[in-house]
Order: sequence, then C-alpha cells, then structure tokens
Amino acid sequence: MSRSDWSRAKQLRSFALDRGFATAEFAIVLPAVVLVGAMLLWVLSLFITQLEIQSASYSIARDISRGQVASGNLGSHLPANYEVNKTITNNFVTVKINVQKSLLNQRLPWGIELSAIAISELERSNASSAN
Amino acid sequence: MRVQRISPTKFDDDKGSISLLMLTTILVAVMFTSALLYLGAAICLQSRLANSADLVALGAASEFLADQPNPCQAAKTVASQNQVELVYCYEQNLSVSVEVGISTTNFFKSLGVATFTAQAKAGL
Repeated sequence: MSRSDWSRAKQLRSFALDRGFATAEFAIVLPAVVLVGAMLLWVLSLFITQLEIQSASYSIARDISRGQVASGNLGSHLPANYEVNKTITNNFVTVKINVQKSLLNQRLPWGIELSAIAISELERSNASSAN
Repeated sequence: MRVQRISPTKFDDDKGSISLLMLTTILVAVMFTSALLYLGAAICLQSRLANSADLVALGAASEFLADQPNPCQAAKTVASQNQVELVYCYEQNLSVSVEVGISTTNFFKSLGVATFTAQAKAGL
C-alpha cells in the first residue's frame, strides 16, 4: 500500500461510525470474563478446602483412637467458620468437620457447605477407658 | 443497471469482534472448569480413600490386642463405617495390609477407571 492509500484509509477510518466500538465492547464484556475467572478460582478454593478438612478429620480421628490429644493447632490449617463434631459410640470415634464457604467473603448470601467425616476404631486400651 | 453504493466501513469494521473473542474465552474457561471439577473430584476421592485405608489398617492392627484377633473382620467393619469397600486384606506376623476401593461415577468409568483404590499397612 502506497503512502497516499494509507493516508486515505486512515482518513476514512477517522470518519467511521464504529470508531471506539471495540473499546466500548471490551469494557462491557470484561466484567463477565472477570466474573468467570473469579468463579474458577472459587471452585479451586473449594477443592483445596475439602482436602484440608478431609485431612484434618482423619488426623483428629486417628489421634483420638490412639489415645493421643487431638492436634491443637488444626485451627490454623482450617478455614474460618469450621465446626468439629466428635462422637464416640461403640468403640468407634466419628469426627465430622463442616465448613461454610461463602461467595465474595460473605458479601453475598449464597455459599456452599463442605463436610468431611472420618470414623476410626478405638484401640483396645482406649476403648476400655472411653467406656 | 442499478449501482449499489457501499460504505467504506461496511466490510472492514470490527463491530462484534471483541464479543466473539470474549465468548470464545468464556467457552474455553467453562470447558477448563469442567475438566478441573472432575480432576478435583478425583483428587478429593483419592485423598479420602488414602485416609480411610490408614484408618482401616489401624483399626485392623489394634485387633491384635484382642484375645482372639480377627483383623480382617475388624477391617471390614471400619471400611463399611467409612463408606468404602474392603478389596483386600492380608495379615502376617502381627501386621495387616489392606486395600480399600470405591466405585467411580459413569464419567470415570468411560475413561476406563472403574474403581479408585488405596493401600495401607499397619501392625503392632
């Protein structure tokens, strides 16, 4: 393209009715893309939390069944709003951990509750002392 | 002959190009998320199985302290309590090896993975 053609094309473009359309379109669509990205990260965080509570419930159940004190610093590895339920029945210890995961750090009313359960048999000596 | 006037920007405008690009991006992200969901589910399931296998092996090993030990029966009980299936149990020299499994959903079956399994060993 010669210099004069290029200038003419540029001039025509400056009169075009869709000038700046791409920028406006980008500005409209960008929030949707950001939202999709944020949802993706949130889903990823759900899996990480699920793995954490599974591991924690297993550790607590094992500690109790072996007569050891359940790890005191588990709270530092678990997310906020977690709830631990420990039940001992018929030589079995049941540990259930529930976590409420909310959207946008509790700014939105929706969320999801994750739970993990681990059941372990009490060791013989601990079973007799528990009963 | 009728001559139709065509605007210079009729064919070379970029209206809708960003929308198309973003739509493609979102579609790719949704497909990626679906794959991520299945992968995450598989990892969580495998982690739960590994933890359950440990608890089953420990429960079975503690049976050796009983007067008439039956570790594999204890392993079966703990496995059913943890909602997993005891696939294999072998006791030898005051130690017990177990393998637990769980049936997968149709998606994983279509990939050729019918069961997730995990092994553990414990003893006195």
